[in-house]
Amino acid sequence: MSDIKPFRVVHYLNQFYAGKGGEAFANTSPYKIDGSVGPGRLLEQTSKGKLKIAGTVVCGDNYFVENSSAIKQIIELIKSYQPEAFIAGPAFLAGRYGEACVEICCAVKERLDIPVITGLAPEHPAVDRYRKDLPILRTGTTGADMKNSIPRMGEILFKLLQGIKLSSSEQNLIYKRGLKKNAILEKNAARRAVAMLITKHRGENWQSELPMPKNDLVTPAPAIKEKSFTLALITDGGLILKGNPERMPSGRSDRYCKINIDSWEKLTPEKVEVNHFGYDNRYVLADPNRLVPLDIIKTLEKRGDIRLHPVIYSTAGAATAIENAASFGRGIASELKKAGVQAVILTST
Amino acid sequence: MARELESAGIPVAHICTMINVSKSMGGNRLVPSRSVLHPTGDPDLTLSEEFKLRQKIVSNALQAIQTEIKEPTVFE
Repeated sequence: MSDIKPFRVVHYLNQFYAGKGGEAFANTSPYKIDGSVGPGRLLEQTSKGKLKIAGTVVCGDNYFVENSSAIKQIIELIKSYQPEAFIAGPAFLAGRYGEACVEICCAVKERLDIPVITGLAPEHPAVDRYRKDLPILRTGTTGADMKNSIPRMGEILFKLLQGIKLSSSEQNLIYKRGLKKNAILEKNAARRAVAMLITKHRGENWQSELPMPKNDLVTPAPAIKEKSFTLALITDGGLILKGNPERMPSGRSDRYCKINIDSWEKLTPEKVEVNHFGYDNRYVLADPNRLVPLDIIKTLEKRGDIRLHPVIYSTAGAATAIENAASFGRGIASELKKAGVQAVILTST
Repeated sequence: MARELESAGIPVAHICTMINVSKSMGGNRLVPSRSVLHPTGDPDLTLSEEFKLRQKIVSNALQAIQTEIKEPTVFE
């Protein structure tokens, strides 16, 4: 018999990892299941009796991002188990699921004041925004990494619960939180500063002791003043020509495509379809104007309000690396500038 | 994509559901969409209601493009 009683943990999962279903079930409202489910079972097994999942709280990915009350409902469900710790995901590179994991972790930390942990891939946009507030484990990009991530999350959560210091390899698995650590150096700050200045003056490699945070704000582009202007349409919702002649990927995209819409009045299921693994496509497949509002834009063009650029730029934004998306943006920007396009409407799923 | 286009001086109306995510990634002109599943439509509405909804979202987007802003702004 183990000498410690297992800690009571609540686990948060999306509809997919809870075994409810895929994108067709992404609108599922929050509910709870007593005990562990799916990845939670692996967590319990690998924790060797140190952690016990008292309950699993589940919410659909779309429900979470579309209902501001979701978080409140989820917190109530979590509270009902009176947990001593909380684990969310891991969500790897999943966009909506990862957002849910970090937001719920923050809320649990604030409201219940218990240790929390989640896991995300380095490319996930939430990492940079939440690394300071939460322990987030560095994971792979897909569920294939579950067998590595879950035991690590369990071990780290256990140490957080016990107040045990993390090993340096464990610290490296958590995204740097930007916390200051006191250290005693041989040379005082004045000597180090002068040494740094001399190194810089000589043109040698020098390194600041205070790395500046990256500023993510972008100065807004000036507004359009002309009454009539040229507009282009872009989407990351995976719009493609029927039959996907360009063989566009459904996610983890490395390129964008161009769809010529010059002679069309609107988008129709006969001409276009969707290839995107990140959402349930059926409503857009039935009427693609629900993704790119070409029908409305064409009406405005006829009235002379705008001139429409003859192609729609499209990619599938699911699990696409930020650097790739940025390079699509630069590529499209340079094409649009050449074509004299003045403004863009970008639709995202 | 939105941030690179705005950086290049092209105003972008970003129609999306996760407004805060767009904002933190450098989106400036933010227009709330109907849903992740149907940004500019709604299968639960009648065709004419849905068309009106889409007109409204597009008109918010055009408003965004034609408005001078200093910081990320939501148009709805």
